[in-house]
Amino acid sequence: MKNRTATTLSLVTAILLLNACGSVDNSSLVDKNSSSSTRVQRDNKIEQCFVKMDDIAFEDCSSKYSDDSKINSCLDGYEEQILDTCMLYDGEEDYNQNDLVGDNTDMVSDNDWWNWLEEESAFDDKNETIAESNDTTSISTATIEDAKAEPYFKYAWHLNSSNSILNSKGYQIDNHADINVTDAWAITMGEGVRVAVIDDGADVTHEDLKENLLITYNADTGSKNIQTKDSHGNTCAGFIVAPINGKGIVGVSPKAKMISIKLEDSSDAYTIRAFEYAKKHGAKVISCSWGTNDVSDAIVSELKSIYDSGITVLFASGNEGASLDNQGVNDESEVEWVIGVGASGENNDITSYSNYGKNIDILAPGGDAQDYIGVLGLDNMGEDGYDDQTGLVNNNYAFTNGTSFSAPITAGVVAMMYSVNPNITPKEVKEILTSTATKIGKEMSASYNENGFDEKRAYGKINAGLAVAKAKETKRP
Amino acid sequence: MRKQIIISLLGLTMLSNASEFYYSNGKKVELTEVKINQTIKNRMVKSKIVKSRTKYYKTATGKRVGVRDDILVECVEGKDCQKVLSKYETREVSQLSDSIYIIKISSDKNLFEFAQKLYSDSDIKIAHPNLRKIKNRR
Repeated sequence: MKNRTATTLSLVTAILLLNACGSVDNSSLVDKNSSSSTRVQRDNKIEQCFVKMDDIAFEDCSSKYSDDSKINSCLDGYEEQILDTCMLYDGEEDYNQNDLVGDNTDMVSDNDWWNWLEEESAFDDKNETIAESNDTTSISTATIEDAKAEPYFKYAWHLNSSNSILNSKGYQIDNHADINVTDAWAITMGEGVRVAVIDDGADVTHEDLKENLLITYNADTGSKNIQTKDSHGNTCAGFIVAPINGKGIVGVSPKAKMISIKLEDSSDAYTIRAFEYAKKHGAKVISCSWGTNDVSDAIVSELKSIYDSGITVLFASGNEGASLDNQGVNDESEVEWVIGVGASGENNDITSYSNYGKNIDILAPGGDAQDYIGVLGLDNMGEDGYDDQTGLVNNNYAFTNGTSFSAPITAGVVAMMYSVNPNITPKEVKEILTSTATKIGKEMSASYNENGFDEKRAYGKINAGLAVAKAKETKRP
Repeated sequence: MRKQIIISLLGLTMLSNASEFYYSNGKKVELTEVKINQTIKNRMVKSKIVKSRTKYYKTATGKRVGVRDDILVECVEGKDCQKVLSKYETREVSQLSDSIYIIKISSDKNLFEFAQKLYSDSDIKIAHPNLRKIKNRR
């Protein structure tokens, strides 16, 4: 048992080291009281892979040896292979493919991919939870005052920091840390716009999401089943479209509708499939809170095609606090055809973890749960959610942090821009977002050049009110 | 005689490794295979942890990628990509988007050499393996 604990600790340490080196998962909801084993269980599948592999390694080594030192040597022999393999965990595609096409050998079925996409309804899971509905028949009549009356609006400093009561609870929030969303809401709340989130699924039963969840699609299987107890995709979606319904929080664009696309498969082909689905189903905005630091040519081409079709794609810049201009880094968030988003914090400056670089465009609140409190988002419902360590919100919500949440917050603003100007182009969206951004961090080390760009803070922090007003002004007849 | 065999084997190994690259943005991306003990891999496959047919590689910058037997292709604008690809011996050609195709090749063909051959075709703009990469949530 001693050996096993040592190995597990070693692997968990390895995970943490790997995270520190380039894959920090700041998406984990804040839970300072949780044990390390709980963290592992709740974290992503790569980490689950480590745990499974640890079991296999231990079983194998303990069956071969009885001596502790020999078991340890045997386990050491596994370690690098486990690291290499688990870092490339690519889901259970084989099995999903079998379910769909009855073929246990071919990645690409006899049906071509395009037909597969067209006919995805034929492959609906029995667990299908959400069906496509008409988004024009269910537009809420809620007002700005209704939005402000949402129970946890008072904690949503990213929306309205001067209204936040967090300072009175002992948390430091700069009065200007928000994105000036209430000025935008005086113009629109995102009516008539479909926003897609490509992530790891969502809790489709969540009380503060389901009303605005229009379409679900599992790009890994071709079904509509995206239900997951992992909260990352759920949280991303909530920051954009959490409705005004008298419960919990409110999204940046609470009258927009969500297309939630689950993508866990690691291949370029499946990634393209996810983007194509969003395009085909009317998304005007696509938010992605993940990245590879190594974008493939085919993905860049797909992003250009999406851009040319009038859809704005946003990518989170990542959480290593590193420059993306370093040699060997070629991240999705740096692609010319997307908007790369870094994170600002409660102090109204870039957070210490936010990646930056000459190709990142904008900052938006991502919060800093370590030194402040983080941004308040959706958690899983009830017992599946984390206990809130602040004592401020119930289990369905949690404070969190990461550029993962800066991207959807910006996507919410972009949705409102499309709402007032449906023919706005992605190029115009980027120009407006950057030209109306608030130049933050000037009292710190910010040094914006003649083009308004700072190495770490890009063009500054999004200003929803100014961006939406300007988008409306530029509307063509 | 023994020396000759060793040199031949080394030469074959070098030749084999030399072909393991693809082109990205006009530049060669050299790969080194990540060897996984077959017994372990079998157990991992059985436990649904990894795919049996995915081969894993590291790039020179330490990035990890997985490949199988499929290649993504985009033709030069204005070219009929179906027609361009019909010149090649593929097992299957499918369209993923307006411009991107996925082709599958038979197991007796070298994936990287096939992708390189496609890339050298003046009618083809992009040709690289359908890469499996680590997507980090942020």
